[in-house]
Amino acid sequence: MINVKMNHIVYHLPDKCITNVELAKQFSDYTPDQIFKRTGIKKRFHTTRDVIGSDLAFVAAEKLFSDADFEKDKVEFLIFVTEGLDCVAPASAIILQDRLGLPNNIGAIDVPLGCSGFTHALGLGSTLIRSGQVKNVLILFGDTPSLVSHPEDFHLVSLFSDAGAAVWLEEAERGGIGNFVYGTDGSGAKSLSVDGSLFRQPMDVNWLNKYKDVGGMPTGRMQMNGLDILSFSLQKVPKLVGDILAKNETDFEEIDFFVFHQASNIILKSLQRKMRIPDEKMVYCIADYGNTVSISIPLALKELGKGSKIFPGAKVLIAGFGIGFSWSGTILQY
Amino acid sequence: MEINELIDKLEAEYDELEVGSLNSNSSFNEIENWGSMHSLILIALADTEYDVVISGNDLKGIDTVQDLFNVIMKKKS
Amino acid sequence: MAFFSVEGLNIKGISTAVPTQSKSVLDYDLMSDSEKKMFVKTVGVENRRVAEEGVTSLDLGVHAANQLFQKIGWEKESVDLLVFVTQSRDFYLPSMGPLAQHKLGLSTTCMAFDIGLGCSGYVYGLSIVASMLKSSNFKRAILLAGDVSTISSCYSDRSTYPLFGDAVTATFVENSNANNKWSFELYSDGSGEEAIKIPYGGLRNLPTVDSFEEKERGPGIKRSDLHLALNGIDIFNFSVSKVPKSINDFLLKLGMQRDEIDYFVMHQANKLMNETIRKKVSFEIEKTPYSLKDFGNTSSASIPLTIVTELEVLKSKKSTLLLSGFGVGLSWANALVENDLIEYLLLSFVTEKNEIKG
Repeated sequence: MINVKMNHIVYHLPDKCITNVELAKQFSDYTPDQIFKRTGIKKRFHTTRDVIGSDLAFVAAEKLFSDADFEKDKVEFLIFVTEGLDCVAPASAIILQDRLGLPNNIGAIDVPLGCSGFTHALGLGSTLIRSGQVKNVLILFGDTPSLVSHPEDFHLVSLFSDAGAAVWLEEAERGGIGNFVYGTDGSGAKSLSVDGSLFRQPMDVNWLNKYKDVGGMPTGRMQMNGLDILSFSLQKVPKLVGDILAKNETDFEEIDFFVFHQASNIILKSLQRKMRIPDEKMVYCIADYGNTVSISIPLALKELGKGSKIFPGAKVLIAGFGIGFSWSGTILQY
Repeated sequence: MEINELIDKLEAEYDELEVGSLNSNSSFNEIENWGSMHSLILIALADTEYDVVISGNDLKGIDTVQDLFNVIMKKKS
Repeated sequence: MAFFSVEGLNIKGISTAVPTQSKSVLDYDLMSDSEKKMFVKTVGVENRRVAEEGVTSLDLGVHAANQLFQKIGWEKESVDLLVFVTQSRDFYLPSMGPLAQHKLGLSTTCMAFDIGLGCSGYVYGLSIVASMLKSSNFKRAILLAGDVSTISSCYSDRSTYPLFGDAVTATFVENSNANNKWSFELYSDGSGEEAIKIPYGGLRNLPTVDSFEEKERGPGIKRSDLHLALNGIDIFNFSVSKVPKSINDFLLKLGMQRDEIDYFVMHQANKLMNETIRKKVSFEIEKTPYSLKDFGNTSSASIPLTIVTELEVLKSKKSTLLLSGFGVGLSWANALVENDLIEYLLLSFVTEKNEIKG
């Protein structure tokens, strides 16, 4: 079996940083301190309407190509993961292929996914390499939950951040990315959904008028049932972690770091407690960045790397879970 | 290539055109019911018979059979 | 670069679900009789299936897959992978994969995700499924592919309205002991982004009250910014230049002769364009099936739909198929698929919608 490793991670955040002080001005029921106590988040990053997911991904990709020794004409496959596509058609990945100046003889696909997007795409990308289809895959991520959040929905505005990321996968001699576990349960569709969107409940002029005061909510309005998501996470993620360990024949104690999708502070804390993960192994970066959807895991991995905490041979278990419901994960060996 | 060869091919391609009805000065736009579908047939003909790609922009400059002939000849050379 | 081959895969069955409602070009009152005649002859489309209001790609896809489950003895728990290729998702989020997993009653250990592609999508989807089956310990996969396109084409736009039909297909693929070889080559060129586009409705151009207004765009072409815009000439020139070249290259790489291939199944774009491609790659018309006449251009469903409606013969003989998908993106892809007999080729009709309940 061909080994695959993730060779480089870049993330990119929009300029507009919203601190709790600023948020408290919009939501006068809360003080900045109360917001922090409630969410465990100090700041989040929101885009403007003219900068969307593929733009954030584009910047991350350009940074990847300028940082590291990857040449654009070597790219063999491009996967773009987002919930917020540029258009209904054509695909954003193909638009990115042209914008980035990548070759024509590559595969380019959009994979619309949310919180499980990083781990699903990593699994898909490494499969493309392992099956011999390609030698490398550029995976881009870009999501803008703020654009579907109603400005008065405190639980959404205070939680989510917009972000982009780029990772480079390629064949490796050893180690790298382990075996994947996946799961899906569409019965959770309504726990996190966007009303007034796309083909089931198409947007119309009445909708735009109804939300005229807040810019029309032109791509729909996100609805999130936090309790459902919490109980789903507490039920599924420990099992997912167990399955990942089993599939990679690794013991719980052998894992050096647990990097979970940064869903919310309460979910992360509850998972840590339930699985009895020691503090030094549990990775949190939600306080400084909020929930960045599919970008949360690469962002956390990058932050972990910056603190030079990661050492050669370190084993990092990653798990993405949420919208769908959909979940997946693997073990990375550094 | 001679323009007569092109005229023969055009007359064969379009059902509504009778043999002998076109000459080099015939204007495509004056053919009854000429429309976008006919333009596509022109492009297909140029491509398959002469290996020439006619773009939307080229098409704007083509009024007569002679214009079409000139574009094809220019692109072939 | 993205050329590759795998062995040991087999298509067990293909099912196509189309709406019950059929519309004829002959009833389209924005064309004169001679224009209709010309359209049918040149574009090759006479009838199309049009989804009733409220029927979505999810409804059609779930129906198509359920038809196959009734015939094929697959346990639902045995499906490891569901890939839904579509550009007409029900919602901004969640995606179609999980929705279909639940509707079909597949196991929660099944991986489910979407690929957002149009006309090239079936071949792309098959290549992804092939990779996943060969290197993920997956045994069985369902590939759903298709769109409800008619909701995006404007009645008063003659360049799109009479062309597109709705369909979603289900293809059941499994790892087998057969030594069938499948090969693929994929291409992308976003410089052709504008050739087929729905300009508003995604995040780039957010819907506004103004974007719903139908405006004059040219002779016989009136539509809103939320409708599909098609530049026929650009698409034509792209298709007849890039596609035949890629197919000729592909066959050269494979070292295959034309007579080793039983059928050449193309995306059903438009008759004139497809015929031009066929001539440039030198396949006989007898080997090149068409479903355009009764179904129109059905996006990523067109290749499996054509197999279901035109190639019943595949139920009784092993075959080698050349598949070619091309269009919106621009994106194009070719596949050579050797297969045992395809046991089930099903066509079914859908009226009811399938609301997602909380």
